[in-house]
Order: sequence, then C-alpha cells, then structure tokens
Amino acid sequence: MKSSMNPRITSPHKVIKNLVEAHSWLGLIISPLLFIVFWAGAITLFHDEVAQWAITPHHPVQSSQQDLPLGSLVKQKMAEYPVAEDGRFRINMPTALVPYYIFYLEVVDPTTDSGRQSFPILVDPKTGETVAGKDDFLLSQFIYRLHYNLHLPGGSYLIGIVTLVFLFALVSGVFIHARKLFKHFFQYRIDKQRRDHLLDLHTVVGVMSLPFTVMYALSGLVLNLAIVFQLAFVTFIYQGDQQALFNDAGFKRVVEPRSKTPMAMDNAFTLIEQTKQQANFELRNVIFHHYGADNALVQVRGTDTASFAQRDEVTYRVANGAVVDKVNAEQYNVFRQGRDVLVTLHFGDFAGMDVRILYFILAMAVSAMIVAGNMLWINQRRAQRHSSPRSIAIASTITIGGCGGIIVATAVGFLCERLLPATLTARGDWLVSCFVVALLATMLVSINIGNIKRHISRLLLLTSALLLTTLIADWLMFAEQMITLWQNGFTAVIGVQVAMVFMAVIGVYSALKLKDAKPMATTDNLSNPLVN
Amino acid sequence: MWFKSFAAFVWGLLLAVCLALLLFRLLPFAADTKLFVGMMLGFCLWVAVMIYCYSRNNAKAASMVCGKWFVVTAIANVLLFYIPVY
Repeated sequence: MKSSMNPRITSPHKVIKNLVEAHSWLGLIISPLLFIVFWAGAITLFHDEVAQWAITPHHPVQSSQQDLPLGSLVKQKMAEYPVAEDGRFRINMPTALVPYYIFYLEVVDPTTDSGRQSFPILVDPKTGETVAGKDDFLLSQFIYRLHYNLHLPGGSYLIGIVTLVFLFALVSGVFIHARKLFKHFFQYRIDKQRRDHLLDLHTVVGVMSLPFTVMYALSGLVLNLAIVFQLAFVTFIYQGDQQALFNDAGFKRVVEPRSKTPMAMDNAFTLIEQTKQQANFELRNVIFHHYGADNALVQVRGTDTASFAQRDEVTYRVANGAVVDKVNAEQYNVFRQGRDVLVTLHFGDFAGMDVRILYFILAMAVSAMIVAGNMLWINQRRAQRHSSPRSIAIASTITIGGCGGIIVATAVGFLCERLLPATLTARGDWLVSCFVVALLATMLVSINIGNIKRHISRLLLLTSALLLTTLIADWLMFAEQMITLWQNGFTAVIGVQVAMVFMAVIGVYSALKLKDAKPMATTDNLSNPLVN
Repeated sequence: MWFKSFAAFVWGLLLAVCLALLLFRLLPFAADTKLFVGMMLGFCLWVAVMIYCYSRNNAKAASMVCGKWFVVTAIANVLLFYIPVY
C-alpha cells in the first residue's frame, strides 16, 4: 500500500536516461577546467622544447667548452648565496633540451615566516654563471602548472575532483553508447544535410580515444587525489605513522638531525661520478641532505635506459660511501614501480617524439570533444522552449569565452615570453598577468554573441596572428643566435617555431571554413540530445 | 541533480575507502602490492558507486542501498581494526 503512494521511489530506474542527464550536466560543469587540463597538457608534452625555445636564445651555451666539475659549481653557489644548509637541496642535471643545471636552493630570508625561501636558479655548466632564476622564463612551467593545479594553491585537489568526474563521464559514456560502441565505431557522417555533426564528433572522438582517456584519468587521479587513500591508510592501517606508509610505498627517507661536525663533501661528487658510470644509467638529479655536515647523505637519481619506466635511485652516506637505500630493476617496490609506470604513460616520454606527437593530437581531439559536448548541451537547451536564456548564455560564454580564451591567452603567453626583457623584475608574474588579462578579455567579448561560428573564426584568426607575430619577433630579435643554436644541435628552438606556423595555418584554415559556414545559432541546425 | 551529486560523491568516497581498507586487510600480498591495488581499485570503486548513484531516479533511492553497504563494510573494518597488519 505504501509503495503505491510514492511512485517516484518504486518506479523502475531509467538507468540510461539518468546517466545521460548526469553525463551532460557534470560534463558541462567541469568542461572549462577539463579543457584547460587537456589543452595545457598537450603543450606540456613539449615542456622542455618550449623551455629551450624561451631560454637558449637569451643565454646560449657554448657546446664546444668542457663542463665545469659539479663539485666546484656547488661550492661556488654556496659561497654566492646565503644557502640554508640544514635540510636538503636538489640539483637537476643539464639535458640535451635544457642545457643548464637547475639548482633548487633554499636561501635564508628573515623576512619570511619560516626564515627561508626557495630559490631555484639556472646555472651554465660551462661557465658556472647563474643565467636566470628558474621562474624568470615561466611559460613552460606556467602551462605545466595550469595542467595540474591551475597555478592556484590547492588547485591540484580541484583538478583531482575534475579528473574523477572525467572518469565518471567516460564510464557513463560507455554505458550510454554500449549497444552502438562497436557497430558505429568509425561512424562520422559527412552528409551535410544531417544535423548531428557535433554529436558524431563527440561520440567518435570519445570512443576512439577511450584507452588514452581512461589511462589519463586513472594516472591523473593517482597524481592528484592519492592523498584521499593515503590519509585513510595512514589513519586506519598505519595508526598515524605516515613514514611507515611511505617506507612500504618505496619512498624511504632517512630522518636524522644535522650533525654539528663539518665535513668536506668531495666524496659526494666521487660517488655521483661512480654511479653515473654504471651501465644503462642516465643521471637526472642529485639531492643533498645536510650538505657540509659529517652525517651528510647524497641521493643519486636517474633512469634505467634499458627498462620501461624504471627509475634507479641510490642513497649514499657521504662520510664512508655506504649505501643507505637503493631502488633499481632488481630491488623494486610494487607501489613505486606501478606509480612510475603510470607517470611514464601519463607524460608519454617513453618512445621519443612520435608518441608525444600522437599524444598531442589525441589531447587536441579530446579538447575538441569537450567543446562539442558543451555545444550539444547549448543547442539542445535552445531547442527547448522552457529552458532559461540565462543558463544558456552562461554556458555559451563559458564554452566560447573560456575555451577560446585559453587558446588566445596561450598565444599571448608565447608572445610575452619572447618580448618581455630577460632582465625584467618579476618577469614570470608579468607573463601570468598578460595571460589572465587575455583570458578575461576574451571571455568579456564572448558574452551575448549573435553568431557563434563567426566569433570562433575571429578568435582563431587572432590566435594565428599572435603566433605569427611571435615568430617574426623571434627572428627580428635572435636571428643570429638561432642559427648558431641550430648548428650546435639545439633544434627545438626552430622546432617550436615550426609548430607555431603549423598551428597558425590550421587556425587560419579553420577560421575560413567557419566563416563560410551557416550561422550556428539558428533553429535550423539544432542538434538532437545525446539519446536518439 | 545537486542532491544526487552529493550522494554520489560522498557514498563513493566512503565506500571506496572502506572497501580499499578491507582489501588491504584481507589480501594475502606484500604491503607495497596491497597499497597499489588498494589505491587503483579505490578510484575504480569510487567511480562505480557514482555510476550507481547517478543511475537511480533520485538521491534517496541511491542512499538507501549505499547506506546499507556502508554499514556492512564499516562494521567489517571496525572488527578488523584490532588485528595488526604490519
């Protein structure tokens, strides 16, 4: 009797209909952030190439000279800056793409609450000069931070939640299309009379990129939201002992107070050099603990070039060269190895440039899928008489202004990275400000636009113009340096320029196509919702 | 939809954590393996519970079922809490 009084609870659950509603509603909410994640992630695949393009024309490295010994460079920097010696600091080795040491120092700064401040610097390995602060040439790092934390405090957790919802959208999408998943696998209808091009684009990209997107969602969750399970395990399994959890997870850390007895550190550099000579070992960075004290440790970290996603690491006690901890292909930890595999897959740095280009194309396609999904929602709402014009206007501004704004702002970022003087104080902050202003300005001009296609076309033309201006500025400012860099094997500078030309050409081509197309905001070409 | 979203997120989190903890206590593997399996399965379970909650007609119907599962898994965790595992 009771059940007949409440039909909402007892009526059968409309599983697919409910999932379609959730898929489109949640997709719309996370779409601006998800677009940033994929767009910035696509560019981050070429993080080091962009860094080389930005820095090396200002500070070329003389390839013909010998590198100075690391030991003398460290001594020089310790004398140059008021380095806080207790605790630890890291040094990243020069690479073929970024040919500078990166010293992540902590300097004494009485003006801060902690009395110290992080001070990352780029050091020329040939001359020992500090060429710049690491954040002076911020573009590549800023785009990377946008990818994982939006350059905001606590942003990594927000991106973690977005990634969780993204995984939900993927799985619910599979449920929605389960019956047609294989039958319509390669379907993209080119019949111009059809009204559901957006739906086809959304579905085809979604289905074909599924393994890639599932991998990205899971690895993104491990990178951004593992804290949830870490807290649960520490509280309920390890009874509050966080270090015990880290030890089990393969992240051992020797915690001991700094000794008062000083000690020369020459042996540390001998140990680093010996480790570097091991077969199939590529040195990436070293970490010093209690530098200059007789209980100093040096952690030597690198990759095993003969194995997939294998990171080798050995920690020595500097005084006697004893091995404190070691991780390699023989002595591995399942958690750490599993995490390293996911991280390697996430960054696509396991099979050269080809895989990264493939990842880039897929990430761009997913970005287009996100926009197409939003346009489907907007068109569907416009077709419904009772839907609120305000909600449609907001969704439209977020989609066109937000996503278009990120594209325009990225091009502005590249232009600023090239035009801002290298010696400008707080150069990185200027770049971020220009990026944010460009984003907000694009969002403002995208409010209440009449013809969506024409507006997108203009944004694409603007982006292309900015990229070509950057290219012209490159050659006007650094023609000689760039030719020398190319001759010395720093090909990524020209490589990034080629990519900019390519993107500009695609932008102009797409803009012209959109300009010729019929306006979108008419009832003539409104798409059907996701469910047929 | 907001109620359903709240239910999906919270029940997903609670059930995923409870089941990941149970797996850690019950699986006969080394701690590093159990941590990795627990974390990966934890995220998958979180999304699976979200899928379930969103597939129901309303948040109440989802909460009724998830609440029962939570009680069961939470009691199992409380019982196993007193057995040292590392």
